[in-house]
Amino acid sequence: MIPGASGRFRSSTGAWVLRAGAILTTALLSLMIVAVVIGSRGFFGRVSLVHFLFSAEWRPASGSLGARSFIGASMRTAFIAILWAVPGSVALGLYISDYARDTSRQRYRVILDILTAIPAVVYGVFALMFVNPLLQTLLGPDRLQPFNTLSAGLVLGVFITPYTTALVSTVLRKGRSGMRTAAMALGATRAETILRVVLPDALPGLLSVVVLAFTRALGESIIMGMVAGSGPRATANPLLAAETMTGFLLRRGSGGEDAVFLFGSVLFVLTVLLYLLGDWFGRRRPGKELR
Amino acid sequence: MAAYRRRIQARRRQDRLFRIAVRIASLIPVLLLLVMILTLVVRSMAADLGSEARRALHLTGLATAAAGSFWVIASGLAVSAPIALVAALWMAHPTRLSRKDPLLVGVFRTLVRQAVRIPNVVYGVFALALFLRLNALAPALGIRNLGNASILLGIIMLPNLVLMMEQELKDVPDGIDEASFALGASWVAVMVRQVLPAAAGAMGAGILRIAARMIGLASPFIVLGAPSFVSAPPAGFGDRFISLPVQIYQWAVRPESAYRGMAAFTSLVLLLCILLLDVAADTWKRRVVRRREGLR
Repeated sequence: MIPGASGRFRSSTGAWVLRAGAILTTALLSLMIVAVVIGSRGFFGRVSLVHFLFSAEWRPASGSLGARSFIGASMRTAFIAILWAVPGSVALGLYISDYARDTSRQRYRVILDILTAIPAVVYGVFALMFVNPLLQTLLGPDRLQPFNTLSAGLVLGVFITPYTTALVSTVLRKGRSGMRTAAMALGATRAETILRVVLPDALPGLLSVVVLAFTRALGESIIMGMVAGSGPRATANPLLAAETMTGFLLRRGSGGEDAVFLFGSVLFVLTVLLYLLGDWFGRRRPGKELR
Repeated sequence: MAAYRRRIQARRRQDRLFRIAVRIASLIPVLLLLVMILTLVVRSMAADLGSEARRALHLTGLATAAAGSFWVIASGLAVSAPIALVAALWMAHPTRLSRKDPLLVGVFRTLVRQAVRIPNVVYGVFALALFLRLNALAPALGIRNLGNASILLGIIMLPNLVLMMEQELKDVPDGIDEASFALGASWVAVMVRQVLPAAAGAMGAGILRIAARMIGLASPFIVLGAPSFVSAPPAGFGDRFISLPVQIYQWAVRPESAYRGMAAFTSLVLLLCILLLDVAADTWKRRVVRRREGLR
């Protein structure tokens, strides 16, 4: 008996078993998508997409599902979040890459690891117990509602900061280090090198960070459900309570009504599209047209 | 000359200001972390456990939620870890084992990469749609129980597990597979008998790390439908259950201050669990890497 012969037999069986694992994984992940498409299929026949996206008239009982206020609240919180998370992450990323010594760099890695490990629900508790009361005293209780999209967005910004900092660090590492050295050699100060060479060079990458951070913020649910408030409100004022798409899913999800699957598929399509857009920005190299 | 000197001084000043600004910005996350932990500690110590709250604490004490968390993670892993392992073995050397079906490789890669980024709450909606359908066909399956929640968590973990395991399989020193090929072993034999045992330790550490990330997950379970009150740990997969993060969510949104104190305390307990899991994973991984260095 040649050992290779039995080995080959087992090998082809084994290869099939392994392939079956891959097929099963693929099937399970696509099953989820199929399930939600079936769930929201009946709905799209009855209501127009335009009405859903642009009308703020939310009366599920009479069949009018205008989701503008939910979508607006989601966008508003995500925008507040990136408004301070992205610049903060850029500063933090610059500090880690250009200023920090090895020991302090190591320490920052640990701190960011811890911040990543903290679950969203704990950030929500923090928002309710610290950020909200603080803002209440700063702005006055009659101007700021107890639940509001401002503190939701601020805490959401803290929540996504570890993620955006990791992205920014990758972008900065990818930059052409020769340009940094060249600028320093020409006598530019560190600040000038960063502001006039490093950051412009990294601009497309930073743009992709903005898109990815926005998408991540858009999909966060538990902080929204705890802090942003319940019930739709068509407003642009971040001091008022307004329910986001994800907040609605948390509050009403288990009821299994039509709108739940609709919001589910909208979020799904939106995140996939935005992530693809972010990837596209990230792949564009600066200065390519010049060369 | 004086103008030149002024100009240099201005540039130096700008440099110093920029450095200070970056330094201050970099301190914000540290400060926030400290304030967050302090808030939780202060709030949980000041928790005023009124009689109503104490009754709730007595009935649904943390043990119920902790047991729920443990069982949903453990059975979620039992569902998805074997599938992820087989898929990762298939994927780890795509040019060899999976070269015959490039289409499957493409679909698999795209799905896994995208699946990691889809918001968790969307998975909850997916699972709800799925289980509502299944329940209509076979009512015995139920919707809001431990078994279904485990399947849901398993599917959320699946892409994470596949990516982690694939990486760990690739990190096994090349000498190991090369030596077994030299002795005439087949690809499957090399993967299953040599590479897999060599990567097992690192995979164990990776599973702990993923478990630490998943133990804080609340939103998909809330969408699937978490009960607001459960009096005992789950005894079977058909039972309703509650997990630590879901418990925190439900207590934190109540207006009574006693519940908020309990939410803060439970948050600390949850953070401690996550920290322990992370430290264990780190120690394990470091030991594996050190042993591997010794082999070289």
